[in-house]
Amino acid sequence: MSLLELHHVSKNFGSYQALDNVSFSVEPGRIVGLIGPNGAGKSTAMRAITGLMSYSDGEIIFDDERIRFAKNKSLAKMGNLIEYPAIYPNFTARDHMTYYAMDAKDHADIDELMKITGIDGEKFGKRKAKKFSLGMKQRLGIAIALIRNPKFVVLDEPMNGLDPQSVHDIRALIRSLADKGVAFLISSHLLDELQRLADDVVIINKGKVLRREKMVDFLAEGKTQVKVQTSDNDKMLAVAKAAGWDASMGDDRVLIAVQGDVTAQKVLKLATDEGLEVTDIQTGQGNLEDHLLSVLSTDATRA
Amino acid sequence: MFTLLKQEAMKAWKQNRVYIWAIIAFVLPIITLTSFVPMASQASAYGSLGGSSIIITIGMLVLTALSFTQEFTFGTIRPLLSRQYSRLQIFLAKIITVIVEYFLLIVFSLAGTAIGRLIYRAMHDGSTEKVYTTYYTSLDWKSFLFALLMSFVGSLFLMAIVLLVSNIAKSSAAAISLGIVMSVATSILSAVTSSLIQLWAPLKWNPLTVQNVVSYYSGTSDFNKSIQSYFGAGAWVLFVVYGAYVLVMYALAYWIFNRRSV
Ligand SMILES: Nc1ncnc2c1ncn2[C@@H]1O[C@H](COP(=O)(O)OP(=O)(O)OP(=O)(O)O)[C@@H](O)[C@H]1O
Ligand SMILES: [Mg+2]
Repeated sequence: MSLLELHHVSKNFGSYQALDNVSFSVEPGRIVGLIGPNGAGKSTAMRAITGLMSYSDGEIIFDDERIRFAKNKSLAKMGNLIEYPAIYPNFTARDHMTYYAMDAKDHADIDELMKITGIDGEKFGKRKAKKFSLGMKQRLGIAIALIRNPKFVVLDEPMNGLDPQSVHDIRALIRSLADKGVAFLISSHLLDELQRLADDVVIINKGKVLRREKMVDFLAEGKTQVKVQTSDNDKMLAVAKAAGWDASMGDDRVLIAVQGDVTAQKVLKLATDEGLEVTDIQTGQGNLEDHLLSVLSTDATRA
Repeated sequence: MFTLLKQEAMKAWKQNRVYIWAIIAFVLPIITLTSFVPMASQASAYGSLGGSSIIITIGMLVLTALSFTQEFTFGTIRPLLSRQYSRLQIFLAKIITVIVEYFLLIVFSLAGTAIGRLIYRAMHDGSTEKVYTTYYTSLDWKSFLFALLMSFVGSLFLMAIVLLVSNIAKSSAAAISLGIVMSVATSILSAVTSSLIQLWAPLKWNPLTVQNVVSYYSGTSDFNKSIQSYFGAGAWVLFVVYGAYVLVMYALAYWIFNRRSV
């Protein structure tokens, strides 16, 4: 039995179908990335899961109990940060911790949580939350989602506005909680970040789930590429295309898909034959972003 | 439920600073009674708690509106509702908190009024005027407290209106302004409705007229008689009708609150 299961969940806003037969599950201790373009239905799915929104069809099971709109005992074991941090402007960071911990049977150690999420210290101690910067509010929102020692945490765009150090710290925190068995459902447009963090992916577009699988499997499906940097990348691109290869221009190198007879050696040979000086060449997997875009574009052509 | 009340109390104190209202409710009667109210008007000024009465009503309406609308504007509504509690419990915790706040403000303004009265007496106890001072500052505690109780009962209706608007429009500005208009204008509004009543008599049972009569109900036999002659029914019928109006409005506000996807 999974911790969370969605079975054929649908939701209409008037005539617009925001969720269309959505099914996926989340296992304990797994970090699941929910990805898809703007308006795909990520936040809508999260609102249904947290019992905040009525849905027309299907069912959501969490911890062996059915999640219904507006009445759920099991929500005591769920934390959430959906779209924006839930902050009372006149509360300090610590006030928030006290307030949100009040109704928990057992809660995280407040000092420790504030320390790990970086909302401790002088700056946060006395200042009211309305004076916080975007990233400070976001970190407080994450701490709020975690304060009640949840089994399952829903995070919508958690890395929004965080500086690199905070991203690093929050990632480590999520990972360590997952290792202790806490499950996460995380949506993000920061795909590099999600690629590093998530164990599983659920790809959603226009309310439909396109894929749900392990991150490694999803990435492995993506094209393997030869990434080559030469003295003249434009020329390299042109000759690769002339050779009939699937080539494109990356940031500072030419990306050539490994398929058919293409190998790194062949690329190297072609470059030297053309008199180009190769300064760097690597073979690697495509990233989440590349593969997501290709999955979405296939979906668009099918539709 | 106790936890919910504790959380609401924390928000009332730290977020909505109910103590500011308490300070005003306390200080205002001291200032008005000692410095502005002439001797002949002292006794009637006690009835309005030296001006605090209207402040308390407005304060209660503002706090009612804020306690719902700000959860929406802050985005705190999601963690507030996504919990082990039912929405009824959350709704009731908010209402109870506002009512407790109301009584808290009443206590503060009573203290302010009592102190203002004592100071006024001390200021005017010269040998010649002492007899007048004693006369004009005498207080019939029983009817005074009864009037306070009735104005609380009347406020429950205003609170219900604000609650409804807060939950329908999710805008504290709309809810608060309507509440304030209602609190200062119920007597004006009931004058308007009285012309309608001339057209069709059963209209006298409209909520505004009923609320207005209930708020000023003094319990004297004269008052009972005039109710009997105007409504053709005893005071208790009026109270039952009023209670029904108030209950329906609270139930409607809860129904809207309970059905809202957030
Ligand atoms: N209350 C609502 N009424 C009507 N339509 C809504 C409502 N909430 C969401 N929608 C629509 O449902 C669709 C999905 O919205 P949702 O917020 O779930 O997208 P998302 O995947 O979270 O996008 P983003 O990446 O921009 O956050 C959108 O087309 C949106 O306009
Ligand atoms: Mg969203």
